[in-house]
Amino acid sequence: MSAKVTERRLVDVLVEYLRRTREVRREVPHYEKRIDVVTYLSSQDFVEGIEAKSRDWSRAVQQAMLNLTAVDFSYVALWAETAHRVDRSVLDEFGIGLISVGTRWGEVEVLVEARRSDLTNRFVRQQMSEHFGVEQTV
Amino acid sequence: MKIHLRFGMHKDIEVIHQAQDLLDGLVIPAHILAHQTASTAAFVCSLPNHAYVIDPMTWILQSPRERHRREDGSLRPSVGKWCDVIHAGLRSKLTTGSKTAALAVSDLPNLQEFCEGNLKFQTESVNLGHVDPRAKKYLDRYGTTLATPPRCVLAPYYQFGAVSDEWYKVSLDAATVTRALAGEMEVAPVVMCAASLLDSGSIDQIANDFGAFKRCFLWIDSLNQGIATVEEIKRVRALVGALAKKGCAVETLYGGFMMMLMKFDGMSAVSHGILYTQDKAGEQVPGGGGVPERYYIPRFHDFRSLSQTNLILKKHPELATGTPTADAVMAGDPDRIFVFASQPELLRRHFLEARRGECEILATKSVPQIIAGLKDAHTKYHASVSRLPNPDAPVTGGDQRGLDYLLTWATAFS
Repeated sequence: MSAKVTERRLVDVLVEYLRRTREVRREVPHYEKRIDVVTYLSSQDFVEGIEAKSRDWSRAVQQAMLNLTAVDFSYVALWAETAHRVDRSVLDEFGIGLISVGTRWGEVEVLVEARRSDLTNRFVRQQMSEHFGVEQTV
Repeated sequence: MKIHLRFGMHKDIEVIHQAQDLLDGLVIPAHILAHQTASTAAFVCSLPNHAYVIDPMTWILQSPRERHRREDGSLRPSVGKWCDVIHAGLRSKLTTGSKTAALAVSDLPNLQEFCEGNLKFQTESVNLGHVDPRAKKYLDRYGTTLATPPRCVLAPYYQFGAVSDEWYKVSLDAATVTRALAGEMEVAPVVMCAASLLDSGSIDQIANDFGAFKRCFLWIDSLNQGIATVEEIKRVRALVGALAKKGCAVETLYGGFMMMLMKFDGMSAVSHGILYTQDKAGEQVPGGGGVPERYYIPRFHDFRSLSQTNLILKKHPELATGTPTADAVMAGDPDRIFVFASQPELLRRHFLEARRGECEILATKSVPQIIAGLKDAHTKYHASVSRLPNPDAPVTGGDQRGLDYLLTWATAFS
């Protein structure tokens, strides 16, 4: 299986799981990049950003750092077999969460909860909300 | 220190008009002028107070032919038109022969004819009456009728790997022939090479050969100011100094603040594009586009992607200033960096204002004061910035993360 197909499968499993409890958008523009998965939990008014990578966890963490300005909580999602390799000190330093994803539907586990970002840009955050039809004034 | 803008895309014309007070002149790539002659020439004429030069772009002949060809074997339009205006035999030299091979020196057109074609193109293309009556609509749009000659003619040039190689010789010969043809018009050669070959012997020879011209342009191949070493910077400084010592006015075709610091060695002008091309590799053929917008952080003397800039400004809101545009847009609120994403013309204006501010630094501060400023920025921000990802890496080819390059400059210019 190619890395690209594997990553798509990872996102599919992740998104199917997330959709059980929250609204989900894929490939959401954020400045010059795109966030793999953005979710919105209306009861809490939380926006979460998730970077999914099948192999390069450090790249996923870098992308998740950049997402800190766009969302309330920033996560990386990795295959279960890769998730244990992540340097947790880096996650802790930036408050980034870690999600482990298995190959079967529903095999999703939050290994590290993200801390609320203190770097969120309110204008960018508003733009993210608008992807879910939420109008806010900042 | 003069700032010359390297013209790249017609969509930037409005920004350039609005920012013309921040610029001293223009560099017009020959293939763009050849491809869109009327509109480009009229644009040049619309800025009559900004002297211009035309970059002859002859170095592209050193790239494999396939880089100039489309899938059907024909030439890319801009290169094809450029060939046609410079020399009648040039097109066939690029459309025939091995696609993976570049032209050899022996493949080049007759030197005299080639120099004549280059001289005629550079001196007459912007003289609109000679070229294209369609230019009138552009001239009317800009409300100008002036036709201005370039401030000097750039001779055909090529990248050389050693002062003993034939590309060096043909570049020098082209400059000499062009000078003989040009009469009263000033002729400037372009020295295009890597910093690594600039040992003392090479520098002496280049200075002796090219220092005989009143003006000389440099293109130090791939000298990315974010990853240049102390040794590389010192070599380039030595070349600038040696040419200046001969009485030659030295300019660089591609440069940022690091090259501007060579003002103290004799550098008189830098040119660059808007947001990009502060450095360039000879392997990069013209074209491409589609690169991300970037924000210039004046204290860093360099660009960062917008996503990374947003992070940096959240951590260090005092950096959300430095130019009239940044002050007006952000008004002390770093979240308003978001505005630049939807109004990229402001990014351009901000960069050009920052560049003008850097000229002011060079004009008013001593070298020790400037070096102290570089070290101070490193001390304050490196630890924080070096932890951030570098989304520019795929674009710049560098692995620049923190601000260690500021210390490199400080050492190289001490």
